[in-house]
Amino acid sequence: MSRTIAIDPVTRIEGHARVEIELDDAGKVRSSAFKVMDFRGFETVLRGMQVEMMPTVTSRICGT
Amino acid sequence: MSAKARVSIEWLSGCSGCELGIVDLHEKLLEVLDEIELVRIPILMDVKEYVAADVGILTGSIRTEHDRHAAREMRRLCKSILAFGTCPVYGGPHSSAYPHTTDELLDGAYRSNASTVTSEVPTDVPRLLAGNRPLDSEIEVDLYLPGCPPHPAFIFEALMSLVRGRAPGIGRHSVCFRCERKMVKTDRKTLRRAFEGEFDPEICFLSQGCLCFGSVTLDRCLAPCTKVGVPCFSCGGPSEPVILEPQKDVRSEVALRMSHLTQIPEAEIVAEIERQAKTHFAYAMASPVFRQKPTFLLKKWTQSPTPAGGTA
Ligand code: SF4
Ligand code: SF4
Ligand code: SF4
Repeated sequence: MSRTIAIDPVTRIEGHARVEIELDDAGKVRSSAFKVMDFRGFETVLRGMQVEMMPTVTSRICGT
Repeated sequence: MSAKARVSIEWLSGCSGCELGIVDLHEKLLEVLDEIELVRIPILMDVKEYVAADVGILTGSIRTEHDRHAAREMRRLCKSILAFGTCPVYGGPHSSAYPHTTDELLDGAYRSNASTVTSEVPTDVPRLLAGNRPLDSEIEVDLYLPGCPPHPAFIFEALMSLVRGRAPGIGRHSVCFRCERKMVKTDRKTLRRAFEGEFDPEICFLSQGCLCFGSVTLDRCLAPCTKVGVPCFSCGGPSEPVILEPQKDVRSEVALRMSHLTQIPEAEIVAEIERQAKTHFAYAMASPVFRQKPTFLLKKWTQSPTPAGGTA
């Protein structure tokens, strides 16, 4: 019987993620996905900010 | 010995720098762990559920439906809630999404992003709320600890006060109070940016014609930036007078102080701050603190055509 294994949330990483592994009838992996659950929009947020701000503000994309 | 206080941590939309702030307690962490038991901390432990605790610590802001759900669960299960970091207190650096619609943000990240192969917006992920917002827009908060991240000295005091049930012995000074630069009167006539020319490391940035927001920023950091030649960009959020007094706003306070220290006309400084509002209000723009002041025009300032000169 095919089934899906989900790890939700993935812990001990920075941020929020889910892993989904789909198995077929024989128990073989049919597909796997790593899903990132958060979104802050830094691509757009940074536009129009002073260039000297970039080292300090981009370091807040990921603080680990 | 009485039982240790149970502390549960959850992160919303943030960067995890605040969790690192806790680790930065170094050996003080041992002292903290004498009095608390960490029952949930996703960066260190595989506890997926929300659990009952005495103190709930939330980092990050409310950006997605999941954030809102997580915040409500934490409130339901924890006796007191600590908003930890500038993100939950004011919205954090992604507050500067304030002038943009959610669709613009998704477009910039997925549809028209030159460095991303896909042109589809992910669907099987938590829905984004209309905007980025502070934690208290959704749940009641017992203690606020801004800072991006807060300095470990403040983290220690906040945790101990919550665990021991006493008022935190935390100063209410601005960043200038901790900054070692001297405010002196100069005959500087023009504004300049931090990368333009040499700066005297002993003298206040304002005196030297460069915008610095230390005087309107609450000290939760011990002023590390001005010590290494970087003007304060207010990542800790507004100072107490700015929060409490409707007539005080970041823009006019800084412009007034700077115009007294230099020969630069106040109106010119005000105009520059407005032109660069996306930079200078970046970390707290989502907060209602700015709405009942002249800064209610923030959206207009940040939406005007590309600000003059040297932007990213
Ligand atoms: S407050 Fe700053 S350090 Fe803390 S999670 Fe937000 S962006 Fe990161
Ligand atoms: S304005 Fe900036 S440089 Fe001047 S004293 Fe305050 S923090 Fe220091
Ligand atoms: S930018 Fe200002 S508030 Fe933020 S750490 Fe530097 S001195 Fe402190």
